[in-house]
Amino acid sequence: MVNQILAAPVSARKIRIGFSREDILLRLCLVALGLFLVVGLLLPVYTLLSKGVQDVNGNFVGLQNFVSYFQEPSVSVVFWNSLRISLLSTLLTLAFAGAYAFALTHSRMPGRTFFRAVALVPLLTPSLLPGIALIYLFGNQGFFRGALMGHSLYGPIGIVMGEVFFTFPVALLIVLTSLLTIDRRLYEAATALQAGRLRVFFTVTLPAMRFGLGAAFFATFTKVFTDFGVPVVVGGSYPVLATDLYQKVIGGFDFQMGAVVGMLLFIPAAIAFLGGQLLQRGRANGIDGRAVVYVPAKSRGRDLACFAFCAVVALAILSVLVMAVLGSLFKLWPYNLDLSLASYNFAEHEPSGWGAYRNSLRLSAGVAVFGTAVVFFGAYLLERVPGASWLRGAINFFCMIPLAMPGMVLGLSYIFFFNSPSNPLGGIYGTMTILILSTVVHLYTVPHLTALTALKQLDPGLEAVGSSLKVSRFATFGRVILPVCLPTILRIAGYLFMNSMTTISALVFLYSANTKVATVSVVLLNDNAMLGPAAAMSVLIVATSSTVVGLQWLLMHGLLRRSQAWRGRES
Amino acid sequence: MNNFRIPTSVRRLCAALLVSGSFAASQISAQAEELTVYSAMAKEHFAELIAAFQEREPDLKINQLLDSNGPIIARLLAEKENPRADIILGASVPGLVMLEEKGMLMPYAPDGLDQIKERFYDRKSEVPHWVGTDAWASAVCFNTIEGVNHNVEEPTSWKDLIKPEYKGMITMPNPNSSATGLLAIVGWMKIFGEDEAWTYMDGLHENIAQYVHSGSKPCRMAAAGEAVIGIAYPAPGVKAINDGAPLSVVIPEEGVGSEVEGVAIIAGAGQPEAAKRLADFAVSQEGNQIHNKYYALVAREGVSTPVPNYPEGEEKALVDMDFYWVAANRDRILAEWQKRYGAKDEPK
Repeated sequence: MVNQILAAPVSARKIRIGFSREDILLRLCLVALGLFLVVGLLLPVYTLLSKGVQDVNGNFVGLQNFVSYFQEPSVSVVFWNSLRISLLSTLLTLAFAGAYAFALTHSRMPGRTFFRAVALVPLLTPSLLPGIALIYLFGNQGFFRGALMGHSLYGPIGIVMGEVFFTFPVALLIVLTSLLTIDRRLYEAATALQAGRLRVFFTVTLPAMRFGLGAAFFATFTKVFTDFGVPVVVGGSYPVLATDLYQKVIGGFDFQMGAVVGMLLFIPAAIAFLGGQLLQRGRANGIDGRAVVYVPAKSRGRDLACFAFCAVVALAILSVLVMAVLGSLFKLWPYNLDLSLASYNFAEHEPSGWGAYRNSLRLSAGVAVFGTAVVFFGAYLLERVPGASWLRGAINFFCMIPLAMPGMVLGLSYIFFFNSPSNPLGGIYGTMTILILSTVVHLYTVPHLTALTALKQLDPGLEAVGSSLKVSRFATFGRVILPVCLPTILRIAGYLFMNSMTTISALVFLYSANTKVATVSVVLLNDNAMLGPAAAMSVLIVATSSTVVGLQWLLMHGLLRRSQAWRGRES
Repeated sequence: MNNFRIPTSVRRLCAALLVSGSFAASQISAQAEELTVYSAMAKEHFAELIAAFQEREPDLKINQLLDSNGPIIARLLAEKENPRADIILGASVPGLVMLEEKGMLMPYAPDGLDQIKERFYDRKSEVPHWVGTDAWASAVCFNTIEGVNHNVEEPTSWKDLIKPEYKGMITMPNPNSSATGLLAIVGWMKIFGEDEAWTYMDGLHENIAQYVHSGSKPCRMAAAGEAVIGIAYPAPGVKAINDGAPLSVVIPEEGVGSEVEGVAIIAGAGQPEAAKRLADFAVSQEGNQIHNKYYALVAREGVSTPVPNYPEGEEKALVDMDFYWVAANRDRILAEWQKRYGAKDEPK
């Protein structure tokens, strides 16, 4: 980001050539992108922030709301609960993910590909699913309730278990990346210097993991701190910020306090996000061009230990998934465990029936189409069109904000902003459009970064060649950039589709009578203790996102092989 | 000058954008007859009522939103400036009174109002703002199998529930989100007097495993053995018994608070005519016969068929409640409740 801002003046040389119509159009597109982010992100969030410093009648009261929040010990305990739970879950996740990543990269145990694939399964599930599966496993009637030794699942135990499951793949992927970049020559040097195994671990492996673990810490913490799905299912009466916000706004009509809790949810997430950014900045010169990929030596004992550990973790992950599937098939749990498909007859359990699932498909398709178009074209404008550097810098910064913005806060701010009668865009409130808009904004950052990375890899001379051949930039974009970046575009569309299927946080405030989506339906079913149908709907969501990932994989590896032949090998 | 031509792929991209945009926009434009119903009724009850109404009005498109009472009222309040709903069906009367006081309800006297029992409609206004459909009372659901497993007796009174042997076995709805939870509390206040009710709840709090979001959850949790006892209302328990769950529904002997749920048209509704037809239907004989399948007590005179497995003696045990008192004291009671029990697992 910083490089961008610095680099821009260099490329925009001070030779003024009059603006062509195309330049003007490109700038207009840039302005449109900026407007999109202002309307979809900045204005709503501003409305929320200003609510947080107002009293019920709209007078400015400064930080009074926060002071009164923290003065009430029975209220602010919720904040500390959230903090405690998030720290504990994060540390546990890091321990598991760190060891798992080590086993995947630093051992020669069999089945590494399989273990890696299994570990990513939670990415396909809504965060409600682990909670539901945990009730079947460890609830008061659960199959393994004895394992909790008389403690209740509902509360901190359940939340931590669910969150570790849910955030495991995120932490794993980050740590894995850092481990894969360790230079083999460091190990060779260590061995040559006759360092013992432990010493090598502490002086080579661990320092190399440090950045990965740090980044994973911040990412996991933010995810747990702002997650709504796990605590709403197994939180019992142990309040955390996310469920408290839901309770305050949806249950108690208290929008003022809702805004305060929303900001409390946002601040630690924002701090964690900044921490992650600072950490990355310190890590500019990690590897040099001569680095050699580490290949672990044979070691029976280590491989066996790694295998055992990974098998246990993989088994735990799979059993959560299998339990959810089984749970959706029981006739009358726990008294009649005959299998039946009755839970999938959603019309029996929920007024919207299968409509909620169809709405989810519409939402995901809408987000995938609209989101991919905006994100990719936006990234193109930012990365490869010269000029207007301050505008591009600002937009680039806006694009990063959603990563730190909890979905629930975004959803709440949308209510404040779009439901105000003075807002000319108020018409989209209660429609599918607002769900699509909020989801695109909520998920914006990751695909944006993916697109930027892909575009950065392209030769900057492409446009120059194009314009010397008197072809418009749009033609270059359409005939060269788009086809070359097709794998990235597919990846972005897949990411957006999958995450729209599983997201809940912003939508829980924004759905309306005829736009209820599947994840909201799971929350409502669970609110009514209809565990079987809730499990069934979650399983349906997982099945859909897996299908999409499968399709994406097939497309990437099959159809695209031809169009990507110039790369030599799929990277 | 470059030749300015937009290639096919960009055009496709723009087309995709336009299509997704217009696809979304198409949902904004309201169609002619489209009724939006918000409801806090029990799901089966609501579904049957709407299905019967739809049979009479096949051309009417009905958008339905069903949630607990609290969320539905919260949503209506949030949308106050810009109402989305035309009619609210099956909201608790204290909630309706609250909406009425904010001027959010449209007065309407449905056909057949003269057939409605006295306590079932808004008598304070000349033209009622709301009309009741049915009434329900607090009840206790008890899982008989889990009772045997934990070696505890079936409770028969409210006072039984604070006995130490039930520690950690009871769930009840959080009154902040659920009208059922609030009803249980105001019922105790009516029966025991307010001060003693708080003392009672202090004792009960020791035995509570969870306060849950929705009013029908405690009985379903008891039915699934996730809890042994659920404090709620009879309908979901009765349904669970009829589905084969080992449950019994107890009417505590001290008496039970009761609540009327009713129908009201939202002021500023986009479709007031269709809303009036639905209100008429909900108050009609046919509508009341449907309510009667789920509730023993319905608004219309002369409709009372016994509901299978519905606990006996409910009507006798009813304690007369003052909706207006509840509506006026709701905020105070909830604030006190939140202060005392809001964070169940707060570290001591």
